[in-house]
Amino acid sequence: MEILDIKDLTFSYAGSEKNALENVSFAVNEGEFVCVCGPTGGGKSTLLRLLKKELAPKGETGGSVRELGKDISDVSERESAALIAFVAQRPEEQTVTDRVCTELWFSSENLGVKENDAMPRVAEISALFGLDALYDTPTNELSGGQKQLLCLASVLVTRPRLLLLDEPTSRLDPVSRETFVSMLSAINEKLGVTVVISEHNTAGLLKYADKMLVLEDGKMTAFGKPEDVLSARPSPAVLSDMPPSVRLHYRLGREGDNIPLSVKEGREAFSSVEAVDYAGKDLSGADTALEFDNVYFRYGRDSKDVLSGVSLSMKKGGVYFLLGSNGSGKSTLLSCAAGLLRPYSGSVKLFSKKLKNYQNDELYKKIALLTQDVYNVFLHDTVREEFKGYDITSLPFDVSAFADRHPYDLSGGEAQLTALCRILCKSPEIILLDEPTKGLDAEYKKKFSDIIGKLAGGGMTVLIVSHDTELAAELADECFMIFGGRIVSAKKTADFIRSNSLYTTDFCRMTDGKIII
Amino acid sequence: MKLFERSNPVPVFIYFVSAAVLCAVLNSPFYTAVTFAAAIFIFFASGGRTRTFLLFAAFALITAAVNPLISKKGDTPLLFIGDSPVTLEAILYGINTAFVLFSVLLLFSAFSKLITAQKLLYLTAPLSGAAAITLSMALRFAPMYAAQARLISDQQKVLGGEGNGTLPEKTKNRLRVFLALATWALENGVVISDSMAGRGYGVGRRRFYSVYKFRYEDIVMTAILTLLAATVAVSALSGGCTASFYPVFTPPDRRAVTVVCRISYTLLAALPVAAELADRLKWKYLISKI
Repeated sequence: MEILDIKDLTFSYAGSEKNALENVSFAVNEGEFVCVCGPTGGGKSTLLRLLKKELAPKGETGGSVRELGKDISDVSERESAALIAFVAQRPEEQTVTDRVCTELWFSSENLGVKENDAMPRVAEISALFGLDALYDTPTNELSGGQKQLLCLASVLVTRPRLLLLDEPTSRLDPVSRETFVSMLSAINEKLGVTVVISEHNTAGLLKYADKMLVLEDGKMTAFGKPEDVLSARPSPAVLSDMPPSVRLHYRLGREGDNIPLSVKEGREAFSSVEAVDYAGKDLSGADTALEFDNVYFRYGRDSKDVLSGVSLSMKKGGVYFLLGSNGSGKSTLLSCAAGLLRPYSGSVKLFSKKLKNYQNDELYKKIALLTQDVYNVFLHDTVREEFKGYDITSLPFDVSAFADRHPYDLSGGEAQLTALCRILCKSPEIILLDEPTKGLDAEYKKKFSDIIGKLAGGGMTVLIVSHDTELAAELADECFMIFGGRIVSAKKTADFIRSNSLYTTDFCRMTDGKIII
Repeated sequence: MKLFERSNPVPVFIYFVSAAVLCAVLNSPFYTAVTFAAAIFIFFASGGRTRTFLLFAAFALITAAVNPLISKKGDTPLLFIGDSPVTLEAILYGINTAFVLFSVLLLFSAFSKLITAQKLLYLTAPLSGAAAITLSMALRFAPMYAAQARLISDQQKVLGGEGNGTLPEKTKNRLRVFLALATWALENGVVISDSMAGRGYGVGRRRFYSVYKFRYEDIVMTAILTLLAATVAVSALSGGCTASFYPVFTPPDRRAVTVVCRISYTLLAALPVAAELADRLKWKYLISKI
């Protein structure tokens, strides 16, 4: 049975001439798993939001949308709330209440479901998601991955038939992402919920998809089984969002129907590729830029050590990546490097001078930090004002196209690169970046890598905290692995990627180290 | 106070409010003494610290000392400071008031430990649905905003925008950080309201679920406490049940109603103490059996 039937859907935002969606037609059967792909601005979010009437954007709509077997205008508010679930990108902002339990109850409470009727479902969902132990926990104490799982769990309590997800994993680290995606597949399989998910990064996702839908510039350019859709070479913008196995397939100039969609299939397909040599930059002669010597840090006298004996050294002009699981001390290490936190033992030296011997003014001319939430950089009403006193035409990323917009109105990619430009204004000699590519699509990741490459070429030292091993393989000269507050591995990037099995790339996994990126 | 921690917030709330209010209104040595004894037990049983206790004691001492110095009431002057008399009645009144204050502080301190924000939410939900959901959201926002303010301020410090310069510049920067936080909160609010709408907020008549159940023990406790509090209130309103301090100290009337009032209040104040002790014994007994 068709749960979604869309014919000639056309949409333009109020006040815009351009169609955000144009003649989109497709149908989804009950119980299917559909993956919506395509570059940013292609219309993925617009499409998903139009299917959830409470969240539909304002504008002109043409064509027809039938869901749950009737026209969308005949779907009641109650049906839409209970039967069509929606999960968006940022978990923090979708959480409404202060406790895990109240968050799980929220939808049923709103719909006036009797407590005795709702509880068995709450119990089942909580058990399925492993939330029992966290049932009474404040939502603020959950990790990003746990929060997003809670968002998913809490919309499932009302037994929805259609689950819409708008880039739900783009802010998650790879391990949380995998948990989330496998949970989605379990929901699809066990509960029979139809899933329509949009994602930039389709690695690990396509193998679960029955159908994939490609949206480019508001038009649907493909819809069908992933292996059928991908058997023809997609456009470069779409291809860059595809799993590494698909990208490698086309990079190696292969054609044909046997597209590997997962790492497992890729291992077989790429077992006999030729090895690529990764020389890397030689930094042995360069001066030391930043040095940690046996650094210990904890937040309070009674708390545990977050950093317990960190030692590392970074050379001038090098690009370094710091990888490690959540809570391993990555962000704390950055804050110590930036002088925001002071270690209780050991020393941090910047250009051979102890950090504590710098005056603030002097220190922040040499070192710059960009935290995870880049909007924290912006204090003014327009991008132009943020750069007051600096020449905006000479920035590494051209902001002139949106110089008069409010920083909050920029897209994720624009905001990230604008913030990066802002911290570069004082011409620092070393920059520290916390998860700079979180939520970015392939296009903006490429722009970001280009900028970092140029900066490092000009002698700037860069330390990036990230979960993105592909980015590390591409950009880094050397990588550090942090665990339990200590650096447990520090190697040249190619060696690092080859020697690991978690902090490595899918390319490396599929080719047994012959190709790492 | 394991028993109070476990039980439904309604009887706990009734106990603390009635004990504190009646003790302050009756303001008479017998009731003050009973309340004080119960308050000490409850304070320490709910994990109160000696330092806090001593601090409250200091407040009480000051109250007791100040009243006779500023109060001119009372017929029995004991000595004169300058022209103003220090009366026996003012001293007695001061001591009684000090102990009332002491007891109420101890009770409130225990109350704030036993009635968590979550329990307060449970108590307010039936009164106003909108207020309860707002409170729940506020409980999440407060720590979230504080954390965000810290992040903005750190980022700005590194950008060289904060922590330097003259006082007016610093103030201006602080204000900017505050405005940035406000913008962030508003942006956040848009997404949250989407999330609420998407999950049916405002669609039907909202119900409230709760982790706290009204068990048999809770019903009994609530009934007894309400009955005792009502008895005390009614007998006190009939007059003569309490001592008066001015112009001369007069003990309560020797009437049956005074006895009823005293017994009821003692039972009220002692009920959780007795229940807690009984509960401890029960578990000790249970464990020795296991």
